[in-house]
Amino acid sequence: MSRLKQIGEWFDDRLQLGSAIREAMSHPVPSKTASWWYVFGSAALTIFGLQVVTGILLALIYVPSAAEAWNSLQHLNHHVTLGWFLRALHGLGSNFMVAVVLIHMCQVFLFGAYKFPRQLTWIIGVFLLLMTLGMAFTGQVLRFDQDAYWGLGIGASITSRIPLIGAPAVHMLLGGPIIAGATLSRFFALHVFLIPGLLIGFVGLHLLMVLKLGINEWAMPGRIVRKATYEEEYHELLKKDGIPFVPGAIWKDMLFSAAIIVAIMICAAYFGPFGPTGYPDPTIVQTIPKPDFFFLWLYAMLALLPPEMETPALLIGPGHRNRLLNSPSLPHRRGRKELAEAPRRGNHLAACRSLVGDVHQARDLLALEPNCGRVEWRSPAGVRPERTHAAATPGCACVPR
Amino acid sequence: MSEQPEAPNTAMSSSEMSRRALFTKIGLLLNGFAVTLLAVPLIGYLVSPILGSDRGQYKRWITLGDLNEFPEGQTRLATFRNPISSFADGNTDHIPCWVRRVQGEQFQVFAVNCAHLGCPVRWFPQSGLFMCPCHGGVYYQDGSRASGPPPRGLFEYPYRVESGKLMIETGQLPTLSTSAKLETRSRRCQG
Repeated sequence: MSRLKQIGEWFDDRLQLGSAIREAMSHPVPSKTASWWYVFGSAALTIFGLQVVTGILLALIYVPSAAEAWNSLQHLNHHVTLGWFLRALHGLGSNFMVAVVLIHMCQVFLFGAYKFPRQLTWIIGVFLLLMTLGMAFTGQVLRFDQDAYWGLGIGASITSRIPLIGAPAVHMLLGGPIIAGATLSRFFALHVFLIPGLLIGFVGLHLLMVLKLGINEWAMPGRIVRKATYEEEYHELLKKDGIPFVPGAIWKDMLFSAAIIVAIMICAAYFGPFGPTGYPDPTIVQTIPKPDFFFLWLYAMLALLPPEMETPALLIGPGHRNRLLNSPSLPHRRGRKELAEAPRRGNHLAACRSLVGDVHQARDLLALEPNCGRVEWRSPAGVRPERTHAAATPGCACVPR
Repeated sequence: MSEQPEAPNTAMSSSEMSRRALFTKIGLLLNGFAVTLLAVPLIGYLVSPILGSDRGQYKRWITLGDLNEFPEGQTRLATFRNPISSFADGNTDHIPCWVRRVQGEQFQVFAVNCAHLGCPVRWFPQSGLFMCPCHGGVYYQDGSRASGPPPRGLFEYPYRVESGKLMIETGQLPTLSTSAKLETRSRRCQG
């Protein structure tokens, strides 16, 4: 035992990481955040780890060539020991990852964690979501079957709607004039090198900010985010109510992550790998292309839009969705975190333009609280006004800014 | 190592600092130059699909088959090898198209790719319509849009008949912008 300790010390004398790790592990968190609501971020990270491991293992066999990819997947499914299970783990892992990342985002939104000083954490989180979806799409392309082939055709058709540079953009996307070997190779490079590299970097920043800024405290009525005082109040809260992350909070993260991994394994064993469907030969026109579930909503929407709406929806839509996802961190950066009492603050026009603004309004309406415009909460902390008469109570007054 | 008199030390360090700052700036400049120089071939490699040897001009005339393979008044699926292909393409450079022989040497050669989002349209001779499995785009037998989300009719390849062979000009995936130079005929012109 002491021998082990000696070896550990030998390494730490040279690495000098021990104290930093101990500090990160024991950083205080508000005791209420040691909650089952706070387990989704760590679960997303755990699934990402699973995807990295299973992805590397699949890359031992997979051949990123339009001529061989489909055959190598069949080989994995039928001839490589447990190849089918690795494919199923990776495919279902991607489904779980998209789902858990979305749940994580909803939790963070509903708990007001995007407010000062954590706006950048949210914005990077939005990019992590987009990269997760990017991994899902490029991964679906690597399963080079008929769905992947025609999915690329849909991607190229959407790209071709860009005004002026549509044609060169299509050729850049495909790596040539048609969907072929070069197309698969560049999606392989995106899926295996570029996007995961960015993901690792951004996840590192995301985690670093959680450590440096502290985990978002439990939203409470009467607790308002003010730029001048927030950090002091947060540190006061930690002093009064803080518990060390290890072992105070981490056990719930660990239990949930383990449960998710077991769930993915059970699903993988039960459902098996996704496809591949038919051989990617474009001359087989008797096929019904369909995307995986992450993009099914988009695929369905495209059947319903009137023709003149499609190009704007396809080209402006993604940018607007991105702005919309990022918008709560900007106009609603201060004020209450607690759901029922979130007042409308900041630029109303910008807020109303975005769906998020509507959600904020919906949050107010659901709480049966009149939306009295630019509200400053004036009553002392801890005193909660009657919900239905919030505007009439002295606690809530409409004040000009 | 050893103690130095104060005055010359500060004079030395201030003059040395400025010299170091100068060298740092020169170093930055040289690195900037080297990176710019390096960026030219790297970006050139990256954008080769649009600025490479083909310069984005991928279309060639190819032979689709003998005229007698296409009976008059019928629409048939034909396949050809894309004029530009590579060793790693597998079957993806085998491209299908719908050939409609109107009469004599009058043809229409349609891309299978729906004008909406590129899915493969199928010909249904019973109803005389092309239909898309993805979002319900429907086209008449002459390729013009009948219903559904497509913003236009089917893409057509330019064709010509040479010594009993049907030839088409092709080479790239037809989409709304990459087909801009592909001929499209309106229904009026068919006579």
